[in-house]
Amino acid sequence: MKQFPIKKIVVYLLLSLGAITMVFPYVWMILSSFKTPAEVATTPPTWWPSSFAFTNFVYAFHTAPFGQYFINSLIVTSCVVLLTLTTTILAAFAFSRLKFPGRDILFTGLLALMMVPFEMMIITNYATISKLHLINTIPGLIIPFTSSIFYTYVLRNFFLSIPDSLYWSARIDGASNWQYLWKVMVPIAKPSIITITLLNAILSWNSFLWPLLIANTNSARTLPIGLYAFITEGGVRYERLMAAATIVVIPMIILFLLARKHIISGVAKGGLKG
Amino acid sequence: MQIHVENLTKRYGKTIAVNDFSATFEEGKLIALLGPSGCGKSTMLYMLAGIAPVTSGKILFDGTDVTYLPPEKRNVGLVFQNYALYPHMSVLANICFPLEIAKVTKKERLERAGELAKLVHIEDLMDRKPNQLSGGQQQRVAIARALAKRPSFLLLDEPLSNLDARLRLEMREEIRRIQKDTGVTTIFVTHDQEEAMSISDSVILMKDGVLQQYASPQELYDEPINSFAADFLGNPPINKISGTIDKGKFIPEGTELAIDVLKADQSEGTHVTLALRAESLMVNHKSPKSFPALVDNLFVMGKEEIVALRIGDTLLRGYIDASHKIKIGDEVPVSLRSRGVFLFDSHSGVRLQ
Ligand SMILES: Nc1ncnc2c1ncn2[C@@H]1O[C@H](COP(=O)(O)OP(=O)(O)O)[C@@H](O)[C@H]1O
Ligand SMILES: [Mg+2]
Repeated sequence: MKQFPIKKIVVYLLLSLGAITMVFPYVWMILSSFKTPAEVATTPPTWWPSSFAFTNFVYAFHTAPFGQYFINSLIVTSCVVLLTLTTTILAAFAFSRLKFPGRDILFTGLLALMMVPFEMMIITNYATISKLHLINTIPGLIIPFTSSIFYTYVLRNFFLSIPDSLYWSARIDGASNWQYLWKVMVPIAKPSIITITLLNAILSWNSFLWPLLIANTNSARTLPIGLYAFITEGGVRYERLMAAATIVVIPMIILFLLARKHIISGVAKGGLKG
Repeated sequence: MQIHVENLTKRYGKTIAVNDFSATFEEGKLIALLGPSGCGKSTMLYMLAGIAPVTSGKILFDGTDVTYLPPEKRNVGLVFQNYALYPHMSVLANICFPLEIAKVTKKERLERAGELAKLVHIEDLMDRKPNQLSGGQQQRVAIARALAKRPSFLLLDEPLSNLDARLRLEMREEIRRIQKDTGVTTIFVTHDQEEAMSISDSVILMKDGVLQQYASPQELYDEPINSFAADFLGNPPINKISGTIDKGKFIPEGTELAIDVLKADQSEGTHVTLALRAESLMVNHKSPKSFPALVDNLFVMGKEEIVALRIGDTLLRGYIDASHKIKIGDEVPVSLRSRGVFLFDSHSGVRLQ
């Protein structure tokens, strides 16, 4: 027991080192976004900006419609998260609780589909979306991402771990399948569902490849694509780039801080790795 | 409500969990479904509740055929062996859940929950979550929830098996009291004969999915219909001696004895089993029909002693008053009372006498 504090110190040192490595780029980004062009270019680099100037942010908002991008991102992410959640919950319920012919074969088939990399589906998805005349529209960014086999699989497994007797108790108490799902299963699965929601939100917020193909006009661009356009159209000016990147990243950081308790308990309870 | 089942059968693939079961459960009674593990007791309850689809046969509630009615339309209360409380809801919310589904107003829900809490003595626990309750408390909550919507009858699956010994005795009395207070027809499942015998109005004894005997506890003990029923009930277990019938007497296997126990003619040479309750043996008691037995062992139990007797290769247990003077190795005469003495066919187990 005597060596316990030493062990603890070592563990904490390693954890701190990891945390600093992870956080450093973000801090650097945020601090740099307040610097002047000259200060960004000095060697050796300075850590703290000599004065906090918002000119870079003002410039970013002036040259590119980051407000529009932000709203687009918000709409796309909210819709993707809500729709995916709905389809995931319903599918997980069907695949865990309802009995219908071919259920397990169908589910195995879906799992097999997870082997197909996303990049391979891009071409067919593109063809579909363009046939629907949804290129350069917000729905075009949303529709291909309204379901997830992986999340369905995770949630189905969680639902399967809920004992049958709970289902039958609810049925005897008068509940329909629908009421059982929303009044019993979903509340019990809340930690898993919150984790799924957050992971999906982050994924959707940061998604790049698909919007890059679909959104070529300002009216449909999301933040990451806007940022990319900002670089290619405006040239590399690090302090401005950092300001724009900060705009992109801040909402996710806020979301994470608000929900970090849920994320951590969800990962711990649901055995879900992000 | 009166429940009547007719030729009820449930198959799981090749297993026949319940086989051609017919019985009537009378209104307002506490009925025990008794039998060894795996004999189809739970399956029977699940069919009554509408959870397990019936393979063949009929279920009638007060004469109405409900065989294919879904569980939510049967108005039954069921308490599972694991209680199945909703883990995310407080005790109050658990009890109110069936009423909420039935769209009962909030005021009435709370009123009813209050009544039930009082009935099952959980008034102080209403704000707790199920994982903050002991087994006995969870049991009470589960019963309260099952009673919330005033079910026509209450089904309890092994209600006491998850409790420790002391709590089991307490809850057994509680179940009896709650049943008496509410008057609800109740069927409870158990594999423990003592439990079934101590609180129920009648007992249904099952084996391998087949109803063996349906009688009051006393009748089941005094008049077992076959050797399984005689075996299953009673503590210490009933004594059994195999033998044959010869010249109107019972000849224990491997002995020269001829015991005069037959009340009527039995066919000569049949292989039979004589079953004797421990309290039916009068040890060290001479009478015209007594037979000798060897004292194998003595167990002091206070006022009375248990004596192990040897007849041939068979050991019998009987009681003897502590004031006796017999010793291990003595040969003593044994007489039989008329109660608690049965004769069964060794092959079929059918009762002959
Ligand atoms: N869902 C099921 N699938 C297959 N066999 C089952 C199922 N439920 C019960 N059985 C079988 O039916 C028989 C009776 O089971 P059960 O009613 O649970 O017995 P008990 O409650 O008396 O212990 C057992 O042989 C058991 O294995
Ligand atoms: Mg059982």
